[in-house]
This record gives sequence, structure tokens and C-alpha cells, in this order.
Amino acid sequence: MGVSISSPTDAQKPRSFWPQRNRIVIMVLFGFVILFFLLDITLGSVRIPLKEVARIVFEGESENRAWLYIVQKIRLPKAITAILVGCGLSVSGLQMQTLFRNPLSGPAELGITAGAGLGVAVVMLGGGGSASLYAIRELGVSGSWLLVLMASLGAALVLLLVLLIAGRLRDNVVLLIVGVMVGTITVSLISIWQYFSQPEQLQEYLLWTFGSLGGVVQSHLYVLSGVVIVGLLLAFVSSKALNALLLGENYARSMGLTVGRSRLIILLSTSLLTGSITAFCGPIGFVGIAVPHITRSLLGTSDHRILIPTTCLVGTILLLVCDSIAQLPGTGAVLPINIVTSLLGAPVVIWIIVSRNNLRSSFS
Amino acid sequence: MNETLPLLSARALTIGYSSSNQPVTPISHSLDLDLWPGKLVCLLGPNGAGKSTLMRTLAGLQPTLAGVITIAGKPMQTLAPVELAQQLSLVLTERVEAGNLTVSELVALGRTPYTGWLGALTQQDKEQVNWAMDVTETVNFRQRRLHQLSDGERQKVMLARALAQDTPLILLDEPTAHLDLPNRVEMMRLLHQLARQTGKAILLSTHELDLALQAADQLWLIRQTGEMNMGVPEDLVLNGTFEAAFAKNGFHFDRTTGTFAIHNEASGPSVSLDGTGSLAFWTGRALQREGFVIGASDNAICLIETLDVAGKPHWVVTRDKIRTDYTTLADVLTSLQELKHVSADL
Repeated sequence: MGVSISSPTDAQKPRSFWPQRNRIVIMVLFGFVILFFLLDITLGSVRIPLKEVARIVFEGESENRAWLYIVQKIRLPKAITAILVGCGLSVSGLQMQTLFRNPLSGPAELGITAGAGLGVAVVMLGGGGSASLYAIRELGVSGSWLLVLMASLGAALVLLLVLLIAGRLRDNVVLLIVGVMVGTITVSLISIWQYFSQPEQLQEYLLWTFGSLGGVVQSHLYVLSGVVIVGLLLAFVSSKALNALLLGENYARSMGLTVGRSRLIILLSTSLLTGSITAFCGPIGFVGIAVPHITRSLLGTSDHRILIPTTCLVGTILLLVCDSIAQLPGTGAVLPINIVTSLLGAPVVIWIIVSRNNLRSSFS
Repeated sequence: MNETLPLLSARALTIGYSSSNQPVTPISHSLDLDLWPGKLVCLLGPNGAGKSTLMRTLAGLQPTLAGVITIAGKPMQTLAPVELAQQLSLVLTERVEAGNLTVSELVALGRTPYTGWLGALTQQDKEQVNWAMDVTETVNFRQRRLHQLSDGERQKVMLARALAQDTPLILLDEPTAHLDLPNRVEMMRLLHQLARQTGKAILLSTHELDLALQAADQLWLIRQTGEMNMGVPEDLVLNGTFEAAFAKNGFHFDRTTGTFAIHNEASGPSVSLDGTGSLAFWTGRALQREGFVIGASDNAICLIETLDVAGKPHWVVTRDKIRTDYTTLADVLTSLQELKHVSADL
């Protein structure tokens, strides 16, 4: 082998620059996660001092029983749900952007969320009067597993369909249109179903479509965290494959990657993440597409081994912020989370399109 | 490894496409191919003759229709993807669109077949990556992003990635496409050197006939009909195979200079040319473009002598024993144009 002719300073100085900077970015993000986590728990219709909130969270006790109940049974599960949703949807979007080599991919944009919604509709509307969301809640853990399973199946089905069509396409924009169309078909199917459903079933389903972090009770939270953690682990295990796939399928194959198997794992991970989150919290838009872009611009890397954990942090912060805004501080009202994420996320997507004239070459 | 064995060999290979709703469409039949260590092979052929199909088939990206491809003594199908990736690396024509990757990150991806499940680089991996960037002279922009590179730099980076993969075989599909002339020459020179110095077998497809003639140890000429001719470039030129493979109306291959002439055989008045070296060569080129035949002195309308006067080119045109001096070819051609009209009038 040849001998390196570059001087050591030349080679080392820029090398240590990015990781150093990234370490600081990640530490700052961690700080924000804790800050917004506490803020999210503090905000709400009942005023509880921050000091007391911190005491309840870290020590698990308070003189005020009502506060203890509110924080432990309502706000803490909701904040944890926000973290799971933030991590899950963002990582799901990151994987899709790499898999499709398309910066405008995301679970909501390519109809995957709609697919999960179809799965939910099958359970909620299909089971006659007995299977409404209320009934699911009463059924507890076993019912929620059914919901997760159907939603993930629906997500996987749509993802597989889009993946098959994407194999024949080379154009980013066309893929997006296909995604929107597949999503529209799925939504239409659900609409037909709604049309023939009972009003009380409809109401449950419509409420679900607004998206809510607060509807996840403790027993569901175990199921949701379990599935999301499995999905995130699968994504992290795929990070080497995702890195290779950045160069395209042919290069990935030439570097020894079993592309079919890697795709299957990524598909499984994305479906589990999108499916389980959509099943419990409803369709939440723009998180999946926006967060990976924010993360990339923060870190300046395309390495998934760093991107995946950092995407989790940014996603968590975004969801906690959105949830805090949804509380409408100072009022007693609560906005559906889907509306807030759309209000914050859509401008990010516009920024992506405007700031990069050529989407093809600027991917990732 | 035994030096006398080919690194890759194909026997009775049939390439082409087969799909479920169409009959099998073979492009080339019964090809016997070998790639030897330390040799640079250029695959040439007109558009649509099947160069890319052959490259893709040899790379294992596309199934063979018949025949066997053997790599490192084993049939290609029996190699696991990672084993194949340790034998053969690729540079493809498709544009990599991962614009946010830095050059060193991209080159490091070449180590994928050797790294563990998380892709962490060992010291040995890093050395290989550094070496690959050294020989391709990409070290200087190792921290630049892919979208900040020119086409020439980008292509060198893709080659560095293939080198980092540390394979005895490298296949490059049109590595000189989209490059300007200096970059094309540079790329070919680099590949030729790499083959010689590292003992790798390098196969590349190209449209650069003259560069291929200069750099290749062997040429594979694929015809429009799908048949294949192989040999040392000079042999193929001298026995006329090269000419035949690219036969087309409107131009002809000049065996003496190894170039394709875009002008048909001249049919104008004949001129006799006296001189040597590059001066005579370029004068001849200019005369041919104007349609003059360079021929014997007996029926020539004039004699042109090329001279070197104190390091500067000089032309003397003699007609009817009248000598005229010129210092640029432009002036020579203008005066000849007048002669041409005169001789046409006669």
C-alpha cells in the first residue's frame, strides 16, 4: 500500500471539527429535551408550580394529591407519548427519505399514515357497534394489540405498494404524486366505510383523525413504547444498510448489501413505528418529513449512525413544543396535536423546497 | 493467488434481457472473456451494442442468460454478496445524489463489505481509505460535500470509493463520460497506472476510442450485431478489425494516426507537401479539411514546403516557379483558395 503524503495537520484538523461540533449540538439538544419535557408537564388547565412538577417527576411525591394525580396519571403519560411519537415518526421519515432517495418522503406524505388509518378503520368501523375506540380502551391491552397490528399492516401494505411503484420511477416529484394518490385512494376507501357506518362509530373515528397524545392510557403506553422501541432498534440496526443505500441500490448491492433483506427490515421498522403511533394518536402530519431535514442541517452529516439518535432528540423536542402550544397556555382549551404539527411543519417543507432549487442533487 | 489465472472469466456467456411478457432478447452469444491481473481492458462499441448490459452482467447486477462467470475460481452465483463485494467493485454511470455526504464519508463507505454491523472503521480500514484518496488525489477536498464537486472531481471520488473497497477487480461503466478532455486523459492515465502498480484487473467501457487505443492493454470490441472481437489495440488496428467495428458512412479511420477523420477522402486538386514532423502533419490536416489531395508532385497544382525559421513555422508555396512566403496557415489557405478557383476555371 502507498504511504499517505498528506501532512498530519492537514488530515486531522477538519476531521475532528465535525464530531466536536456535533457533540456540542447533541448536548444542547439534550438540554432542550429536559427543558421542554418539564415545560410540557407544567402547562395545562390546572396551574401547578414548576418546582412542584419537578418534585413530582423526580421524587414522586407531593402534598397536593390532586397535583400528584394530574402529573402522574395524565401529564406524564402524555409527555412520554409525545417523546415516543416524536422519535418514531421522525426516524420513520428519515428511513423513508433514504430508502426512496427522496427528500420529500415522509409517512404522511406517501400515504403510509393513511394506510395505518385504514387499518384503524377496519377495527373501529368494521367490527360493528362493539369495536369502537371506547370498546378498544375497555378491552385494554389485547384490544390495543389488535389495533397496532392492523394499523401496522395497513401501513406496510401502502409502503409496499409505493415501493413497488417507486422501482419504476426515477423522478422525485412523480413519486410524491403517486404517494398522494395512494393516500387519496386509501382515504376514499375509509370514506366509503364511514358513509355506511353508524353515527356513534363515526364520531369516535373522526375524533381519532384529529390526533391526540392524551388518549393513551397507561396500559396502552406499555404497548406503544414496546413497539416503538422495537421499531427504533430495527432502524438503528439498519443504519449501515441505510448509509450504503445513500449511494443507490446498485452501489449498495456492489458493496455486499443484501438489498432485499435490508429493505424488508426498513419496511418493517417504518410500518411498526408509523402503524403503532397512528393507531394510538391518530394521523400526525409533517413530523416525519420535517425533522430529518432539520437534523441534517444541524449536524451536516448523512451518517445514519449519528442521524438516527439525533433525529430522535429533535423529534422529541418538536413534539413537546407542539404539545405545549396545543395546551394554549393561559386558556383551558386544547388544540388537536395534528393541527399544531401541521402549522409548524408545513413551513419547514416549503423552506426545503424553496431553499433547494434542485431537489435531485441536494438530497440528504 | 496464482498470477497465471484470470481474476474473472466468462465461458459461453450469453447476455441480454428476459422478462415475463416478452421473449428472451439476447444481445451477445457465447462470449469467452478473461480479465487478467495488472491489465487494463477497454470495452468499446457503438451505442446500443450492449456495453452496459455486459458490464452489468459481469458485475452481477443482472443475471446471465446462459454461460458461467467465474470469479476467484468460484462460479459467481455461489459467492455470497459480501464475498463478491470483496472481489469486485464498481463505478457506475448513475449519478450519486447523496449531496450531503463528505468525500471522506463516501470513500469510507467503500469499506462496507469489511466492517461490522454498525460499520465502524478499524485502523486498517482508515489506512485503506486514506490510500485510496491519496492515489486518486482527492485528499485535498476530503471534507467537501459531494454537491460541491465538479464532474471530474466527483468521478475521481467514485474511483476512490471503489479503491477503498480493496478488490482485485474493478469495473467502470463509462468513467470518462461527462468529463472534459484533460479530466478524461487524467482518468485514463490513473486507471492505467493503477492496473500496473497494484496488479488489479480493470475493465472499463468507454466511447473514447483514441484514449482507449493508448491506455488499454486489451480491447474488447462489441459490434452492433453482438459479436465481440478481442485483442491488443495495435493488432486490432493493423488487421482492420477496429476499422470494421466502427464502419459508418461519413468518416474513415486513419491507421497511421489512429484517429477517425471526419472528412471523406479528398477529391479536390492535388497539392504536394514537403516537410517533416508536426509542422507537416498539421499542414496536411488543414489541407485535407479544405479538400486538397496531398499527392505526388507531377500533377500537383503547387508545392508547399514547411520550414522552421528560428523556432517559428514558415511556409513556402511554389507555383509556376513563383515562390511566396507565408507565416500563418490561414494565409496559405487563403492563397490556395484562389488557386483552387483558377484551376477549376481552367
